[in-house]
Amino acid sequence: MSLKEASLRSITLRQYVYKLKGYSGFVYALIIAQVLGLLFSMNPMGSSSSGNNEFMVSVQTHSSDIVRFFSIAWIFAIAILLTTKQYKNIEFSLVSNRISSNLSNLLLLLSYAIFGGFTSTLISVVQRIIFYFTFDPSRIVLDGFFLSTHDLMLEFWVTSLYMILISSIGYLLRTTMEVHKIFTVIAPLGLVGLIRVYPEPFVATFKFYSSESSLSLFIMKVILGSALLFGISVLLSNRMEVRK
Amino acid sequence: MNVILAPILFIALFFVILLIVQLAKPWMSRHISLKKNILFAGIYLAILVIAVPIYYGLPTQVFIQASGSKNPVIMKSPAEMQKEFGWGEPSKGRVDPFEKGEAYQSSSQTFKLDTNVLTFKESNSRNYSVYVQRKSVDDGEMDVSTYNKGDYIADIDFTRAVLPPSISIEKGTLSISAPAKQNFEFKQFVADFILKQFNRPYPNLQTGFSSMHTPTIILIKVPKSLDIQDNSNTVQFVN
Repeated sequence: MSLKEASLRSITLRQYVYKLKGYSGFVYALIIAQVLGLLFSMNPMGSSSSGNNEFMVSVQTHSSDIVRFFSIAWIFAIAILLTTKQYKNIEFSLVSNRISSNLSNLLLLLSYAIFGGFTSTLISVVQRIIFYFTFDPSRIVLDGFFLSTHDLMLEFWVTSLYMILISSIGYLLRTTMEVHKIFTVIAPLGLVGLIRVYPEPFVATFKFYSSESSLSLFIMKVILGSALLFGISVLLSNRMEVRK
Repeated sequence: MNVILAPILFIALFFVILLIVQLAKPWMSRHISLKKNILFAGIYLAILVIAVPIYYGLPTQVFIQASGSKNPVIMKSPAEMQKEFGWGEPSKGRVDPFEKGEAYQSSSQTFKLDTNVLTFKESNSRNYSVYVQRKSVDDGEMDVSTYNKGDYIADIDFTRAVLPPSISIEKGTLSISAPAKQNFEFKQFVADFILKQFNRPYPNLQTGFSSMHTPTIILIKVPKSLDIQDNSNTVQFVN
């Protein structure tokens, strides 16, 4: 019996730092995803043209949604990977319990969400610079090209919040799969099937977040939603065997 | 994007990322260390951060303006155009191509006349509005100006980019020929889903664009006593 009692906080922090170092390679996947997203963003999202016998004119619209979409998919993948057996086995080299493991994963996902939100916001800046140097600037419309610093900050925070929310969904999905082997098949297929057959609740949930135009309310919704999903994940994983 | 299609695409994308991570893992475990990872992430972050001052340092005047912006293309007001045409207050029944707004002067030339007769030759059968005005003097010179009332697509004012017709005079014949057909391809950044969600003032993605193209107006100021022969009735006289 040890005389020195380790607190949950110190164990969690030690695990978090350990995981941050051990899983630092995930950053490569994010960079690849963002660069791929950037390449896809070079293609227009929409196009329209008109003309007369003197000229032909077309407008191609671009946005940085794809990069953001790719970054969100990345954190979803990471959230699922973190709870797989392969990655969980790393934890057994440290003193840990279910709660400290989940909390360190949560901290890790928060760090990734902030990094992902920051880089995906700045990628939209890089995308615009690439456009400036690869196309004739006199053919680029000024309106919409420059984002204010306020809007860059808004994009950073909101992207990070979306990433936290999506990662909590991925984390819960994977934890559900870990409860019993059968859920590995049922959970993803059931989810896709439900979206196809009964899309209304998913659409309503999607709109609950995406239609919120007040930043403070949006932050509150994301924090509450993510806390609920992470909470369920923690409760589910606490019922599992020690090394499952 | 379709609300039903989006999660399916998202799941497909998730599997692609998962595949990348799994495929890269053996290589990463051999070649990548914590130090390298931090260095690589740091370089990536540094490149992105450096991009910000470059972005805000880009000159704004080289871009094309959308209508309603602070520096519209329009150069001459209706009052200025009325003065240009030698008109006073608008009167009933008079032809006034500028009565509905302003115009952009796309070209201005002065020709020395070597004859006392002027004929017209319009090639390429373009729809130009040609106005002739007699000057108060016989100075042996002809001033030709071209105007454009505005060409827009999706609020993009590209009036300035449209080339004026080429005008020349030879042995008393004024030739107006249209330039080769021009192609304009504009790129516009629209609000991404976050900016749209928080109602930020950026252009939105549209499925179709409205466009407006107006014919070029040509104003020819000729000496007082020049004999004008217009058999094809292509010109209108002012004053």
